[in-house]
Amino acid sequence: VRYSARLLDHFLNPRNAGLMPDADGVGADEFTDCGDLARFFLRVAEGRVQEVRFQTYGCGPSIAAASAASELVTGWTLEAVLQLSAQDVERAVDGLPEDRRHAAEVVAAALRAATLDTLKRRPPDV
Amino acid sequence: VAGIVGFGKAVEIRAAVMDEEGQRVTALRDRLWEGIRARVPDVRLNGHPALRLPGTANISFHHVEAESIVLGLDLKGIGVSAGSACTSGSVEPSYVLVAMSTPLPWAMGAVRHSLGRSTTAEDIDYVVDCVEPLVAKLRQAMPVGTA
Repeated sequence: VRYSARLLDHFLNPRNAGLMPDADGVGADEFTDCGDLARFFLRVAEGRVQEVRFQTYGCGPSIAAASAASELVTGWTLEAVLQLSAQDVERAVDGLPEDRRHAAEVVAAALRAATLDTLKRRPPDV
Repeated sequence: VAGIVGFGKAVEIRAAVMDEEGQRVTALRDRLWEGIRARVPDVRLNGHPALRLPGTANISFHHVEAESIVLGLDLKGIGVSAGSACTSGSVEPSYVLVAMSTPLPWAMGAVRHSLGRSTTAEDIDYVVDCVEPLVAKLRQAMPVGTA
C-alpha cells in the first residue's frame, strides 16, 4: 500500500477545502519542479488559529497533506504555526513516500506564509 | 515451436473478430467520452474525434492535476493513467500532447483511459458515475476551482 489509510481519507474527504472571504491572513507556496501549489487562509482570534481554509493544485498526497494540516493547526497559536515543519505535516497523514515528501514541504511553507501575513496585518500584541 | 504455433493461432482467432470487436470498442470509447462530456464541465478530448484507435480515450480535465484523478479512480477499482507523472519531485506533461500544441493546463490534466476485449457498457457507465463526483470534489480544492 503506497499511501496510509489516513492520507487516503483526507484525499477522499478533504476538510476545510475552498476559499475564505475576508481572511486575516493568506499565504501560498509552490514546488516549482512539479507545479504543486498550496494556498492557505487563516482566521485568527486572540492569537490563535480559529479557522483554516485551503486550496491545492497537485497530486493526491498534496490535497491530503493540506487537509490534514488544516485540522492540525486549528487552535494553535500563531507562534506555534510559524514553527510548523514538513515533518509535522507528514506525521499528520501517517507518512509520505519519499517521492511525495515535497507535498508536506509545500503545505508547511504555505501555512507559515499565511501566518506571517496574519502577523504583518495584525500584530498579536494589539 | 509451440510458441510460434500458439502465436499464429492467437492471431488467427483475433483477426476473425477484429472488425467486429473494433466497432464494439469504438462505440464504448465514444460512450465514455459522451458520458463524461455531458456530466463534467471543462473537459476536452485529446486527438482526432474519429481518426484514432478504438481502445483509448485521452481526456483532459481543466483545473485538475491528472495524478489526483488517477488516485481517486484507483480507489474505485478503475485503472487509468496520467498523461503527466510527478515522480521524484518533477513533473513532465506528455510530450505527445505538448507536440500537439495542447496548452499546459490541459496537458497537466490529461488522463488516458484504455479499453479492451473485456470492457463492457456497464464498466463505462461506472467510470462516468465515478469521474463526475471525483472531479467536482477535486476542483473544490483547486486554486482555480469553483470554490
